[in-house]
Amino acid sequence: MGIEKGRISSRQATYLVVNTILGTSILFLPALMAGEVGQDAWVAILIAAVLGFLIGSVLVISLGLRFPGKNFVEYAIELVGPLGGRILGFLWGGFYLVVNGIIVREFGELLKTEVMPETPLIVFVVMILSMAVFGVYLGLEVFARVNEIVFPLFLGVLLLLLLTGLPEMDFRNLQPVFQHRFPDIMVSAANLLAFYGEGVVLAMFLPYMRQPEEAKRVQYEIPIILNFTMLLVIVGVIAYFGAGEAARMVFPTFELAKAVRLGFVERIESLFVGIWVTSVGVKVMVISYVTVLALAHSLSLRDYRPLVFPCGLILAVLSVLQFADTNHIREFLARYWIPFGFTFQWFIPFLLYLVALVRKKDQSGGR
Amino acid sequence: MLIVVISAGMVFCEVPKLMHRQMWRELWAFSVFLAIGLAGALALALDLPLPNPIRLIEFIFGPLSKLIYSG
Repeated sequence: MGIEKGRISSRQATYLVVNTILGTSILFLPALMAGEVGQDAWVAILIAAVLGFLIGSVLVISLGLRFPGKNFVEYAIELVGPLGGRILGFLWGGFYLVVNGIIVREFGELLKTEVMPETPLIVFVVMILSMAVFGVYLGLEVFARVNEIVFPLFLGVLLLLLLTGLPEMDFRNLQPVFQHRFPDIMVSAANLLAFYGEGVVLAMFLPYMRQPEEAKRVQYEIPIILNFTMLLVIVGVIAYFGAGEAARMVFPTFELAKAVRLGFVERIESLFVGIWVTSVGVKVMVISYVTVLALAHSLSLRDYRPLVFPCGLILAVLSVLQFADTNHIREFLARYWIPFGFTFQWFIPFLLYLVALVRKKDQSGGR
Repeated sequence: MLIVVISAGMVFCEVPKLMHRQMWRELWAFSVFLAIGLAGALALALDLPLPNPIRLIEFIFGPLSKLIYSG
């Protein structure tokens, strides 16, 4: 039987995935994309939206539905044999460990550079990790419920931000359209797609949904909420600052929060950061959960909990060690994230899907 | 120092529970991962050189990255 006993609803699953993808990309992507394709960023989002929906629904949902009650590593073991499946699961766990290190570092860097410049980085790292370790220890059901409260708040604050910024947005900043070469736009879309790849975490908790049939609805809900928000934020940021300006900033979304006025209330970025911190907290929980669950399955443990704390410690080390500074993170995200993310998030599930097709493995019983 | 104290606390919480339920595999995994984490944390605290996984990733995916951005 599975390790995880908790069950989540389809809405919780949707929110978890969207929150996982949006959590950090909402801050880093606008600058990256504005730098790559400027005002044509929205074209890249539309391309990534269509591709992401197609790839995601095939690789995650339909592959997952072939093996009811089994998560990614469990059906990997089923498909490519015990040894291969365990190696895949272990690689996957390792990948998410590294990714989580990056996320925690991004989180710390934002707070350090923008909010509390005199606090050492390690303080933020330790705080978010103790929260995450605690959450993961309590289990999937607990942080899914937390997220059900946090995520709508996060979306609400984002929308509020964009609405209050609306009067000062200049949509002529979005002209001229298609100024950039198509290959550049494709590369930018691929970059976005690599970020969307974090949604593959769904493969780990799809089997724990109370009604697996509803997975078919989830595959539409996730891309709709996700791309709609992404489009609004990136178009909003570019219209507000202009593409050239946005590309020079480190966190344009955060700068937007600093700049807008809410009636007579100014500098609402603390509100934004407060909500964002909880949202990233949940994101770190989700990724840590996927990491330890994947590792536990590939080592055939009966419980993932013993791994939670040691992995938290490794994470703390990784997040401090990995990068020299914020520019290094940006350079890594801009240059290496596409091949790195694609290999683990899209290519491995793709291979598994091919194996499933060739070996005609289907345990859904025609449901 | 703090790292050692927290880790020791965690060991006292986790190990008796695992011993009691006779989950030896889990105990093994716990110890190995904790050892890695602890070694890393101590090395970091003492400013010892550590291998950086990002460098490895940059090395492995470097050729692919060049391929994508040359187009």
